[in-house]
Amino acid sequence: MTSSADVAADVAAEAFRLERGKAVATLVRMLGNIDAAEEAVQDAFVRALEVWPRDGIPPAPAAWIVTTAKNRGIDVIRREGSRQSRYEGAARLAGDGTEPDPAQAVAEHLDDPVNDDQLRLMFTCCHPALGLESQVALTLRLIAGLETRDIARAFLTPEPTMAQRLTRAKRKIAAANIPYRVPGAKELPERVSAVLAVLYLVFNNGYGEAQTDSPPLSREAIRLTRSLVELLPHELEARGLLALMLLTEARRPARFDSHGDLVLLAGQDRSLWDASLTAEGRGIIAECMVQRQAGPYQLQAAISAVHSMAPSTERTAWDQILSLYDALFAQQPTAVVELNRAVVVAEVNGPERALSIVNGLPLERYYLWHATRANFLSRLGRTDEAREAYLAGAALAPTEAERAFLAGRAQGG
Amino acid sequence: MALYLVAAQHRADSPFNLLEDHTQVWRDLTDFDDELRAAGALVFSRGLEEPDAAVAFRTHADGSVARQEGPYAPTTLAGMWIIDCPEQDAERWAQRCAAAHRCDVELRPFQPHVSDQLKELP
Repeated sequence: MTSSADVAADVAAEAFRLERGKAVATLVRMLGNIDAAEEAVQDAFVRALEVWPRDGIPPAPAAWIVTTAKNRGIDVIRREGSRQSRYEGAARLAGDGTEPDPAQAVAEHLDDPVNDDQLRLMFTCCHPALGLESQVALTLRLIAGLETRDIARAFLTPEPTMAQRLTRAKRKIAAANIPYRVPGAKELPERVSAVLAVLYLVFNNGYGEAQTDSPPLSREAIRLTRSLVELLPHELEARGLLALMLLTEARRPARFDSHGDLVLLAGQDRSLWDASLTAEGRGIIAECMVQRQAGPYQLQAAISAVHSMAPSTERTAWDQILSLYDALFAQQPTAVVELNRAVVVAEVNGPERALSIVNGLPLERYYLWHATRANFLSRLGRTDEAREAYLAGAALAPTEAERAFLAGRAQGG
Repeated sequence: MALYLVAAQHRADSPFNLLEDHTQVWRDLTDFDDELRAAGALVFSRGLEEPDAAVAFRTHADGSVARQEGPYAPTTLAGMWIIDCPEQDAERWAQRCAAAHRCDVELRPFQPHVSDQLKELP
């Protein structure tokens, strides 16, 4: 191969990585079938590897992918479709194939149907009729365009198990006739929060990991949340989640030391925080908060923003953070929120008051409950109790980095 | 973003005119339009009826206008696209159009709208 052919192949691979989700979403609308859509887009990729090195990279690679995949989809319907699905597919494609009214074409050519398709598919993937695990897996496969083996690796699941989960979820979408559309105004807030919950789960799954070779899931979650914000610009909680992700991601470089060990907020070298991510996150949340409709994601982002402005733990506006936690607790009166609030109470009112709050919480199975208690106990000079609590936390920790961290603390490290 | 006319020219020796079966050309042109549309670049596209369907209106030196059947002048114009795209993409779209249509195409940028040009006048 000549080098320009290599370049074309690289461009094709990159274009498909970026555009796959959009193309699949459009094809699902056209073909009414997720498997056929995925297959058609895969076929288009193979075709791109043939054609692009020979004829050059098309002016709009994404448009080429959708158009080529659509034609492949039509071929599949013609070749394999039963009579029933052939009629259905033909009807869908007819809706698309009619020539647009030239007068309208001028007005409409700026609209971007691709984005609407992606939004529709996002709501389909995060439909409450599917289990949460399936929602996450489908979103990563169909919207983010991740390979099944990468999703399986991220969730520490064998690849065949993940493949089965995806197949079952897609079958369920077809069997339960889950509508392929953006929900109406009445259900929208509830359905948006389901989508946000999935995106946040994807983010946290990637954030728990130390740096790896593959692009972390947290970056993928940020990308998807960013497009959700573009698609639904009036959803403040979507903006809040984006800000929260950016502010959290900004701290990643300081989160592990050179040995790969976890570093808590108090011990982090704040000069390592990514200034551009911090600035973007802070800008977004500042815009949201003036609207005075702060939901849980906005409040958490605001808390993170206050941290991001402080040069050190000591010089943090803890009272401001406490009042944000009060607002958060009013909306989400859960034990985990109260646990996090107690950490702030320790800074504002002292560890004794904070310890009495934490002791009353029913979170004995949660490793951070033990870790938080241990921290307060150690600050109160109750060393033996603190060690016990650190060990109990280490035994329950979900990742090796966190286990090692808590075990180290138990030994006075 | 800028507006362009992509004008297809059918000459006697265009590959298009030497083909017996044009099915593949129509398929490729449909794809070309779909691609433009998906890229948000398609404003308008149509083929033209044969030149003998044209009616010409001639303006004389005294300002009078006369109707005249048939082609006004020898023409090769056979179809047109109006596209709205980044400047750096325009030539590549035109190239693809020529390849799909199997004929020469001319790419011409549009001037600003006349009303905007009027504003520029002293």
